[in-house]
Order: sequence, then C-alpha cells, then structure tokens
Amino acid sequence: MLLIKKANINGTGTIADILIDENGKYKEISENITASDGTKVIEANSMMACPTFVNTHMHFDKAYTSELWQKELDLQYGRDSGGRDLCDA
Amino acid sequence: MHERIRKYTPEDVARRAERAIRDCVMYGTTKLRSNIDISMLDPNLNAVKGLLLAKEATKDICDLQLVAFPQEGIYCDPGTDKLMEEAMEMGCDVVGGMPAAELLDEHARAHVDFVFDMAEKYHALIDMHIDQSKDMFDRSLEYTAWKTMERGWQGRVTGGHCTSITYQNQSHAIKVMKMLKNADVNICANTQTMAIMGIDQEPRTRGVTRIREMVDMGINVITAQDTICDGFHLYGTGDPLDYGLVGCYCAQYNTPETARIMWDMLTSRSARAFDPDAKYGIQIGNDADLNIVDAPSVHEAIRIRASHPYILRRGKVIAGFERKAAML
Repeated sequence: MLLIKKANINGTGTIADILIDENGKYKEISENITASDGTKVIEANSMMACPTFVNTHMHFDKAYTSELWQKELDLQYGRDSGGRDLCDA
Repeated sequence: MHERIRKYTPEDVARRAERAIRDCVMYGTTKLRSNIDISMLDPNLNAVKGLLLAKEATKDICDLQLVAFPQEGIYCDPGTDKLMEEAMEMGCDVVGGMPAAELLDEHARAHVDFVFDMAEKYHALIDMHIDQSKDMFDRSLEYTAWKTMERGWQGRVTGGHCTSITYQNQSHAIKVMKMLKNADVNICANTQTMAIMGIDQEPRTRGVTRIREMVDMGINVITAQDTICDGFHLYGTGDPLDYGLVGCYCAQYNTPETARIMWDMLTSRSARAFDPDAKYGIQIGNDADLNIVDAPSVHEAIRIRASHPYILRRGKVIAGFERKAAML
C-alpha cells in the first residue's frame, strides 16, 4: 500500500490524501487517511497530484537520428564538430 | 532521412526508440503512441522489429501503442499495401495513414478507404496524418470524418496536424468542423513541431489547426511531442510541459481557464484518443498512474515546466525529475 498525504487533487485546490492498494489501484481518496502498518508514505505537501501524461503522436523509429547525420557529415568532411552521439548516451 | 531509413537495423531502431521512450516516461508520460514508417525504403520492416523490441524492453514503465504509418504513401509507393498488412500481423496496434503523400486526389481518397478497411479487419483504432499543409485544397479531413460516420468508427479515429483547414474559407471550415464533431474524430495539433518544420513556401509559417474553434465546438483536440531530434525537428525533450507551453502560445491560451484546457489536452483528452474505453484519472478503482507535480496550479506548472518528484505507474514509483536553478 502507498499513501500520498496532502495532495492538491488535479490542481483544483482540493487537498486530500490518496491511498493506493497492493494492485496499484486507487483505494481511497479523502481528507485524512491514517497509514496502516507497512504502508509507504509520500508527503505531497500540497503539490499537485495529476494523472500521468498521455502522448499519442510520436515517431520513435526516427528519434535521435539527427545526431547520427552530424556524425556522418563529420566523417564525410573529415572534421570533428564536437557533437556527441546521442545514441550512445 | 531516406538514406538513414535504408540503413535501419532492428537493434539501431530499438536503441534509439528505447532511449526516447525513457525520456518521455522521465517527464511523466506513461501512455505513448508511436508511428512507425512503413514504406519500400524499409522492405524488411526493420523499424517495426526495432519498435517491438523497444516495447518489450519498456513494458514495465509505459503502455506503448504502435502505428503502422505509410509515410511515403500507399498508391505512390507500390508494395506498401502488403507491408502495412505485414506490420499489423507483426503486432502494430493502430492503422496510420498519410493521404497527402498521394499524387492524385482520388488516390488520397482510396488511401483513406484502405486505412478504414484495414482498421475494420484488425478491429483497430485509426491515427492518420491528415492535411498537414497550408494548401486549402488538401481535403482528406472532411472525407475522413465522412468515412468515420459511414463505417461507425466514431471516437476511434484521430487526425494528426490538420493544418489545411486553417487556410480554408470560414463557411467550409465550419462545415468540416461540424462533421468532425458529429464523427467524434480526435484532432492532434502537434504545435511544437508544426512551428518549426520549414517545408512550405513563403510565408514561412507552417500553420496550426483551428484549436480554439474546435475546442469551443466540442471537438476532442489534443497535442503531442511528435518527434525528438530527427530530420524534422532538431529539438524535443519528451516533456509535455515543453510542448504544452508552445501549444498555449500557438492557441493563444493565455488565461488560467484556457491553460486548464491545454493541460487536459496533455492528459484526459489525450487519454480519450489513446483508448476511448479506458478508465483514466484519480478515481477509486482506476490504475494509480500519477504525477506529483511541484506547482500550485496547472498554469504555473506549464509556466515553470515544474518538477515531478514522483511519477507512479500502477501505484509504483518509477521515475522522478527535478528542475533546478539557483543563484550562487
């Protein structure tokens, strides 16, 4: 179990505690939840608690190819522009 | 770009993709959808193989949907139709499209028809790049809305970019937007990359779709990163607050209320496009996919591109990042 204390729910200004069960699901959301034994606690201190972001438009097959081109150009012109290969990072 | 694609190996693609996926997760994203180029430049589908490897390697930190995306067209790139089929059989989840790549209007329509046929065959969502130009005569968007209603695919189709509608006259654009609303087509604006891609003639602006009008009409408008460090976009971090901030500038969302709309475009509105049947958000019984964000409001979070000290997926802390600056 995981208990998040005093979170600003969705940035609405409503401060509440969030209890998450062993299956990773929300079990309780209310003003003052007491942690039972073995429950991990995160103090949010009024930070926002928001659902994770969703990013529906990516092109991961092409990601970080721009640095590969730079490397190839450097090879072609016999130079070293100092750029690191991001793919090796 | 073409030369690079010809040199793809599954391992090369997987290595770069996995790194970019981890970047996105690090900034608080746990649901991702990636296009994969399907074209005769990559007849062995090394990009699909690479993304499948990356998906397996990151399955514990995110949900990743893969889109079979015919970047070079279908009818002007013979053989792509069979590769699209093969990509879906290999494990792609979503059918992509690129009707503007076709050379003839009738081929653009046939391209859209092909995508819907494939989506029906595989019971898949559709996510196409549609009318991503300043050309007012690019009109696949209205045809897609029509097809969505005709095939009963409401809520299961997303159009990416959709900038041409901005250059069409107002009466026509309103007709198309009404169709989009009735068809429940999601529109993904991708404002950050649209602002920088310089493929058009003067005036240089690449355009942005009609975000504000569409939102006001009740269309599910969203935005996304699109690309990280490639031939289309030298920049890109994977941080939704980066491209969300650019989105606010492009949509002229300059009040706390409209900043909230942008936040929703990055979260709940995008979740609806990702899975129209999903349970999403902080509600009892839902998966605890949660960001703890160090800001008092969503507009302040966007302004300072706030730290997320804790990023949770299904109740487990998987990442966190701190943005720090200090006077010394």
